[in-house]
Amino acid sequence: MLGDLLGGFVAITNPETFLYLVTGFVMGLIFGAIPGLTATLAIALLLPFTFAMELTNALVMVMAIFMSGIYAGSVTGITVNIPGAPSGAITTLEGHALMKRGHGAQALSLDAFASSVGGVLGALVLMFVAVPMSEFALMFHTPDKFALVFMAVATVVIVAKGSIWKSLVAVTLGLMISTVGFDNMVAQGRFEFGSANLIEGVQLLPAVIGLFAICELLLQGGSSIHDRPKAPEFKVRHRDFFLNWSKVREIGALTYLKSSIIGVLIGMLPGGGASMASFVAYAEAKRVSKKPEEYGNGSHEGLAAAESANNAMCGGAVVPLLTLGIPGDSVTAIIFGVLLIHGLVPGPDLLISEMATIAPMFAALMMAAVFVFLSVLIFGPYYIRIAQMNRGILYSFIAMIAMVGTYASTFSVFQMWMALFIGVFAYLLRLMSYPLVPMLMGIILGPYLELYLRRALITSNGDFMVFFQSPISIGLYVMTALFIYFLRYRAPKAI
Amino acid sequence: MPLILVVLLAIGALGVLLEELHETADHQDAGHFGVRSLVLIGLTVGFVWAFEPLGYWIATVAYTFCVAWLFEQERVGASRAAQTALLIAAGITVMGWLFFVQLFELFLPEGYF
Repeated sequence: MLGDLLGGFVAITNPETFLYLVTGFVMGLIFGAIPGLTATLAIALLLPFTFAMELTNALVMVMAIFMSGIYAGSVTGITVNIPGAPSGAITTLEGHALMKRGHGAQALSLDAFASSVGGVLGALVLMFVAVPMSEFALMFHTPDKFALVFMAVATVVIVAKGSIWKSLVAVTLGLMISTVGFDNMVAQGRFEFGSANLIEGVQLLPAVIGLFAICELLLQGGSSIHDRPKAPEFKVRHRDFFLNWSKVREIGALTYLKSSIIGVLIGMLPGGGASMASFVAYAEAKRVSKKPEEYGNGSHEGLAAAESANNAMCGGAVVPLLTLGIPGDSVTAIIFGVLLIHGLVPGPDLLISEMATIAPMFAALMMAAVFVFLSVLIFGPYYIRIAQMNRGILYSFIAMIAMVGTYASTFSVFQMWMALFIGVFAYLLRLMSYPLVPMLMGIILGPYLELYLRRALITSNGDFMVFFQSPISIGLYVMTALFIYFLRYRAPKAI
Repeated sequence: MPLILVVLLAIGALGVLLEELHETADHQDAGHFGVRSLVLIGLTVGFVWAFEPLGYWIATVAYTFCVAWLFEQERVGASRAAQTALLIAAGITVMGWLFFVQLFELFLPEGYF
């Protein structure tokens, strides 16, 4: 295994692969820093290109976008008080308070350092936990797999922001969309309305493009140029980004380590995401802090805790995808698609049989985390101008890549219509505050949920007790119940 | 499975309805509606409809020009936006062709008019 992991690092030293890594990193920075745009959108736009890319390059680029996109959300948050992504909200709270007190430079460098530490620790956990977890997952039988997918669907509903009922509706709509097309148990089409195009079901590409690219374009259509962050009123110099080591020592290695572990664990949780990771790590850091009064008024400790957890989440989020075949959030759901496009099925067998193919992905995640801090030292002053990018260029680019990309990867105008239809539908849902990630998870997990449900019932002659006979299944249902309790009824309310 | 989903959807919809009736619904995260969004939908419908008949070059230049103009006119005014949008459209269309056709060797329609 170590040989494969080292091989992954060797693979990214290939000039072409390295170029994809850097390009992905820059893409993530741009999309992460601009309020409203996210790393998910950047990866969604990349999806059509992955059809023609080598798998290694595609995975490396996706990982770089993921890591830098999560980090970049905090840059505009600290400087102009508007987080580029929701995950940067806590960092914004502390970072902008520091900025107003004249410690903005420290905030920016500590932010990048914490992101790098969290990102590297998250990647290390991914490297050394994924294979043992895959070996454990090989023991899963069909009812256990059903329990696992059920847990993922239930958790995604619970953790979604806002109304749980709207989240339930969104995930159910996604599950419904997944039933369109060929029935995977009997040779028969369902809900295809006699259309040859619908018999294969709703494909992942138009779903992702519609949900994230077209929907975002339409939402931006409703926003004004005045919603755009203003340029910061101070001048940022290169030396402002140099790290103050005494502050790092003051924060303490334990804060970084504990926050990173929290980030990884929440990343592993279906639907966990960076926002929840930063929130929980921040609440925990505040709970044990010697200076809790500083929290909310510009705490270095709070900033470091939130940002370490944010980026450590990236490594954790990939674990359930690669080991159990369960994507936990929108980014890993798209990585799921990238792997499928290249003929690899995420699940317990993947790492055991294809470790050498997947290893560059781990290496890329770690390298991108290191890049965060290094690149801030070099390009830091320019990062805060990213959010000022011309909207005409940005949105016409997104519109072109989304629609032409869908055509180029499928050679089908029907799939363009499908992406547009899903995009408009998603836009209407967003106008009414329905979350979209549960819907995507429903589309992706639906076929598996149904397959395991029906297969288990067929083998047990319709006996529903088959779902409660194995210790693994029971353990997963207990975990689901605990998640519901702790994430819905005992969620930290520290801020 | 579809029957279970119908029941789930009904339960979810009932929950949403009760939240609205009790005025406990959270609308903080809602997106903003704008006429420009409707225009963007219309433009995209036109683009998809004309993409194969007109071909990549004409359809994409026209589409990206309109999208860029919609966002640019807010910043620099209608007539000036037409000039910048034309440059943006030309640049993005060429870049798209370089990416899709030259770099990734994918097929794009040339039109049949």
